[in-house]
Amino acid sequence: MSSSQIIQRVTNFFSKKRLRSSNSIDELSNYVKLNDNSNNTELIHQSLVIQLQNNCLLASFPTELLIKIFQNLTLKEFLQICQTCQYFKEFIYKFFIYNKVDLKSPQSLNCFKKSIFKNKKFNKLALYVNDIKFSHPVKSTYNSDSINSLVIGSSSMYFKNTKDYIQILMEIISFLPNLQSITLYDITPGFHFPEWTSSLKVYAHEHNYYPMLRNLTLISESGWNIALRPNLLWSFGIIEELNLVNMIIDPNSLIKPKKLLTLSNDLGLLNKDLNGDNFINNFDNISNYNDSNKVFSPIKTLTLTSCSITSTSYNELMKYFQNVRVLKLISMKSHFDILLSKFFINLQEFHIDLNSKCFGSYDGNESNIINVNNSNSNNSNNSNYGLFNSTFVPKFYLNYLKFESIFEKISRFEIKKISFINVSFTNLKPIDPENITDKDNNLVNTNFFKFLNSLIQFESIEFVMLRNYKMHQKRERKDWQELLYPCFSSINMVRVKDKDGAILFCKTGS
Amino acid sequence: MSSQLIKITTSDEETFKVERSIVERSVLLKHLLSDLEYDETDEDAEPIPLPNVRASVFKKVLEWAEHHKNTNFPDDEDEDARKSAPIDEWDREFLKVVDQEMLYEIILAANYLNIRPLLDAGCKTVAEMIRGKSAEEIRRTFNIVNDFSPEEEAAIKRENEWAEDR
Repeated sequence: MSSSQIIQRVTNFFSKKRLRSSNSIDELSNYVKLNDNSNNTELIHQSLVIQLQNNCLLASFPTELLIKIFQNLTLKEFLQICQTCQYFKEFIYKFFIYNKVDLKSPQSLNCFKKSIFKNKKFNKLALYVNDIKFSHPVKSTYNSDSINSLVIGSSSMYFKNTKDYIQILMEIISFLPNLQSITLYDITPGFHFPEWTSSLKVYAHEHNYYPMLRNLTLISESGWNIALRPNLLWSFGIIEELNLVNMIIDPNSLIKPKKLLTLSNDLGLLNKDLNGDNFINNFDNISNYNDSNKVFSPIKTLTLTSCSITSTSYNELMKYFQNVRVLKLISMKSHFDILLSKFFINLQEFHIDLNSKCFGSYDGNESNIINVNNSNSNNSNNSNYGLFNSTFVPKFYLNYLKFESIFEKISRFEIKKISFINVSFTNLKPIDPENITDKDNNLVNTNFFKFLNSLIQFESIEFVMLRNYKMHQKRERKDWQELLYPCFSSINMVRVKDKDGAILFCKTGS
Repeated sequence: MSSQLIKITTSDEETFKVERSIVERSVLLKHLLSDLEYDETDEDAEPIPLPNVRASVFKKVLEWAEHHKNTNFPDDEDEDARKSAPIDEWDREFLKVVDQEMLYEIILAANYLNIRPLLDAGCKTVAEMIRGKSAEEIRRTFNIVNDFSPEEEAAIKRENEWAEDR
């Protein structure tokens, strides 16, 4: 059979039976082969691809490009695309709708559960879920006796009574094998996980199985600041990264409740990580069970956004977060929180949000102080706080003298990488280091110099800008170098990125 | 001057002569040129073959690169980075006038040649074609054949009820 015959045949196929999706390609292959015993498979394949492209080109796109296209869309469109054909349904389910799930109400929670538990044998939906969010989680109405009505099965639990929100939530998360990230948002005061949810961990302990979760995020309902309690954490097993938003950490936040396993290294899992050769085995560790210093959280990355940390909890923090390598302080309420870094003994990376309110606020008295400090300046404009305030100079540099002593302390802690986020360099100009005391230098640029200079000892310094690169003052490499050189040393690495991750400047260490 | 140009041959055996700075918009070709230590002053230099790109598509890509000759695109580290940025006005018009098949081929070529800004603009253009449309309208736009039974269609709606706005 000649090539033109094959193409003709393929075309006939399409005229008889329209191609449904790329899956039909096999069907088509068979059709062509049935009518031809020759081994022209390559040619057949080629004509198939051409035909397929003539039908739905979009379906023939490679996965990574389709993902790139659909990434620009929202749930509203996903719900339409998945109704177009089988191929796109599977695609959208797998990479979008069921990949990141946001359950906004108890009704959504119920519906979602039905969807993932339906036809259990053939249902793949649960496998797709990587990330799940629960809004306004509802407090359990059951008392602790209800634990008696709970039977733990291999993958899910069955209850005799009608289920409340938390029971369904626990059923859902224990049914999702590929879950990486859980977010509870708009948490109202009084919400907590009842004790039985933690008993799951006892089960895990007995069966030597530990639920692992990459990321847990807890967010208070706006207007509230909820205190962190172990009963908000104990349902989730071993967590790598904890994000707290609008929460309070006080001395009671980190106390390990008796008899209940929380997300700590109770089983010695983590001693292995930390002590290397001196791995303390489970047996030894259990005998040290009461030694609170040996029980710490496995959390490696801690992000605190708009959180209040009471100073009385510092000691507990130190014990509990021994394993934290990365600390991120976002929207800080007090600049003294920077000193927290001292209490994280294994800290390697420290992120500070320079757009935090605590760096921008000032009161009338403080503006006077700034004026007084600069009274030796001949140029009265230079010391005029009001002027700076109106010229969009980032307030952090204006107020820097207030934080100077604290920033100088960080560099004494053994942190390798420091990262500043939400940075703005608007209207800042480099000054001549030879003339740092020059009267003509204005306060802001002098402070900027001092700030950068205090960073010189860090191995790696990163600035992540507040906005997209298009919104910033345009700077060439030379300008960046001039601007940032006070923090350069011969060995350190300095990078500037825009809000979206585009690298604007990079100086590598030697 | 013509000897300063780089010769590139497309899949359909058409040879283009292009300025180096424009060729280097393609990260693939940029690396290739530096790996080969390609010397464009050498009259006898072999043309670079592009087996995956047709001449008509390559022409469009060159047109794009020519327009963005002086545009400074930042390096991207983050995969999701450019998601939020709107399409450049010129790119939008440029991609709007081509037919669907050409648009796809431009996207595939941008992907193969590793031209991030063009790839992003192309993907966003396709996304624009989907936005705001019903399932039936999407099928018509992209020539998708509905292969669901009515029961399956109802099941999909039920299945996704949790995600609907309420």
